[in-house]
Amino acid sequence: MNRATRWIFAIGTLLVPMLTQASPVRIGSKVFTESVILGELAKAIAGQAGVDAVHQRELGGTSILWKALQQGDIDVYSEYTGTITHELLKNVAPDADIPTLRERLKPLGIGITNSLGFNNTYAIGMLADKAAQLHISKLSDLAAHPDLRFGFSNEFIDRTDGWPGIRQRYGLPQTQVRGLDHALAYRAVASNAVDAIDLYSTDAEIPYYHLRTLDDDHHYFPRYEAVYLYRLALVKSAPAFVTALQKLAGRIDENTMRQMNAKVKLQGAKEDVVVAAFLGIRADTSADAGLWSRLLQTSIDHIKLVVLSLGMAVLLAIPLGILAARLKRLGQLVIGLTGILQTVPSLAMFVFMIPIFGIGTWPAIAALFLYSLLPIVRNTHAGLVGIAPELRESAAALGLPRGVRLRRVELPLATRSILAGIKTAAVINVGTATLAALIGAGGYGQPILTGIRLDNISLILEGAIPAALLALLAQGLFEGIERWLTPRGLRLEARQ
Amino acid sequence: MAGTEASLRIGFTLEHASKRYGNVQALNNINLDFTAGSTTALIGSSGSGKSTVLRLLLGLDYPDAGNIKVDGRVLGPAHVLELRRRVGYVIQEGGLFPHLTAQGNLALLPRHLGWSAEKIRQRAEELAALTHLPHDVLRRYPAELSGGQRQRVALMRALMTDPDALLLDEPLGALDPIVRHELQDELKRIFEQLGKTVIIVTHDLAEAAWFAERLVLMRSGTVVQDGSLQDLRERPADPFVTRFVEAQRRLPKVPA
Repeated sequence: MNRATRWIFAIGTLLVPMLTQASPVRIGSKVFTESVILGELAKAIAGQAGVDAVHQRELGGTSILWKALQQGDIDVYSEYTGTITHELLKNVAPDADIPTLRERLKPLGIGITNSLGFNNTYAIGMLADKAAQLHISKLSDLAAHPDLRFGFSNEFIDRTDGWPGIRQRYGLPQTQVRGLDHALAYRAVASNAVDAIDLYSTDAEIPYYHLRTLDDDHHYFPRYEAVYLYRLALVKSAPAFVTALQKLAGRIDENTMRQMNAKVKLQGAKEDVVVAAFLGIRADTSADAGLWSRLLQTSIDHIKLVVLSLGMAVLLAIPLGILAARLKRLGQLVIGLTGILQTVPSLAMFVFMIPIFGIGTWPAIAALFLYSLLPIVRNTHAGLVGIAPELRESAAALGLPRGVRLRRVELPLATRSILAGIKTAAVINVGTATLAALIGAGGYGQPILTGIRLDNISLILEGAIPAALLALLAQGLFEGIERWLTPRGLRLEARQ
Repeated sequence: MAGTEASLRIGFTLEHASKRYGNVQALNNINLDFTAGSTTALIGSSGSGKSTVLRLLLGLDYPDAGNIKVDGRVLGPAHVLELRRRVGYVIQEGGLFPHLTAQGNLALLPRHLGWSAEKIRQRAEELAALTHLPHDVLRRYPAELSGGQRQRVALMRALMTDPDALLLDEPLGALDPIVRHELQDELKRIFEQLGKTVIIVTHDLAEAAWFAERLVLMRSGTVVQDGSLQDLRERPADPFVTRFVEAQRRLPKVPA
């Protein structure tokens, strides 16, 4: 096998063809337990109404779900009225009622159910003992304690109706404010790492950790009635489902929701089982998979992301690197541009891809593809530019045309550098792909997200260990390929 | 016959050629003529422009002003590949491609020209005999060869397609004295045997005089003197010529 065929073979095996499938009603949920339970609930009642449905769980935060719903990547997800008035719609009163919202959402092609029956508003909570000790019972009491350390979810810190709003309303002086994942915040406050955190009023952990929710005495937080948002197109395509969804209105009160949350988060029950108990039906456990088949599925998803994105990156980046080495100006531009791509924070990169590719596998592949370009382009360029001038001139002086020089002399001499670039890209790619679960692409990030949400270390490890192993495997694989493709003459030490 | 003779050899001319690399004036309005079948040595200190002359003759670079003529025709990008295939080029350390065996290095151009494997093998054997290279050496990679073997392989590579001219840039510069002496003998024999147009660049006057009747002494991009060793010794054009000639060290006298 000559070197060119080997290259084609190596790249070809990286590009396994992929199957896409048309989906039935697609239900989305955010990456917290209540949203996942309400997603399962929508799926269960779809089943009762005889409508095929899939649940794409844990798709990141509000902005991802809202974009996905507007673009038609999902058909329904659960939302809160306060979020709709503050974050999703512009120029709407913060206390607008549901009929008003329904009017405003209609032009966007989106429908809204009535309140499911509970108000899950934001609250600030502290350990009950500590609150009593400092005589804090309401938000306005916080103003007298400027040294308190706050740990707020990132979303809460940024939202206009979150921290910036209450700080202004209550004139709060605290400066030690850190962003925390909501699921980790409880442990942070329980271990005294922070003094106060933001809560949702239906959180199961409030009684469990003996927290006190502080009174919103200036009535700052708006109402966060739980509702479903759905695409109006469903009224035609799945009318039975929409009717069933609307019938859920008023059926879940705050206590019921808190109990369902507690069963999942504190007692380790599965969301579909909890939902089945609520509806008085039997859970469909046929879809429940054991550890090994789960692992198989996440592995397939993850490897698919890595292989496709890396394969496409190799196909584009090597020619780009060659071009960059040949044309100096263009080279600087190409390397500069790919360098800028590398500086985009990975989560942001995934979110940027949603307007173009929707949610799921393809935007994740696109983001990973962009990340993989730089190491390969740069190493291809460096490998070619680094060839000793006398070798390049010897090839030219023989009277070989440019293309032949590139294929027979320059690329073989740059092989090592190019492969090292691909290896770097592969290892980065395997790690970054764990974030792809946030936009519904699955992979090893899925158990990690669920594990963080449920505070379940073994679930986190179910994603983290295979991801680490896969990174090592990729490293080993490319070292093997490097040995195979590097001409023997380049591996020898020159004789003195 | 004169007609066939001319087509087998190649003549070069530099007309008012100048070349500048950044701040360095490598060649300054230079005129040189290398007639077909002649052997010439370009000598001078490093940086005098002698290597630049070879690079221009091969079309690896083009003059900023003036012309390069090959067999009376101005050299341009359109016929540069054709020219390079008629000229063998050997540089210091050989310039062998480390990823190919010696045989692979030899085969690179012939294979591109569509030669059969058998024809390539036969030609390599002929040249191995000419350069006194043991046959099994051809299977080795450049990193596995000695300095002298590398230069022999580089010379063979330059001769594979039986070119009409040979340009050599310090071909023996990196070799130890014994190997160097041996290769000087062999090269001279090969030049005489093949009768090609030869231009050899060296900074060693003795070596230059060994290879060629005609010596061209260069300094800072200009030709200081163009003549025989005797001309340089007895009729120096410039005090620099005398300095250059006298700079060649002789062995100190040892008391008997």
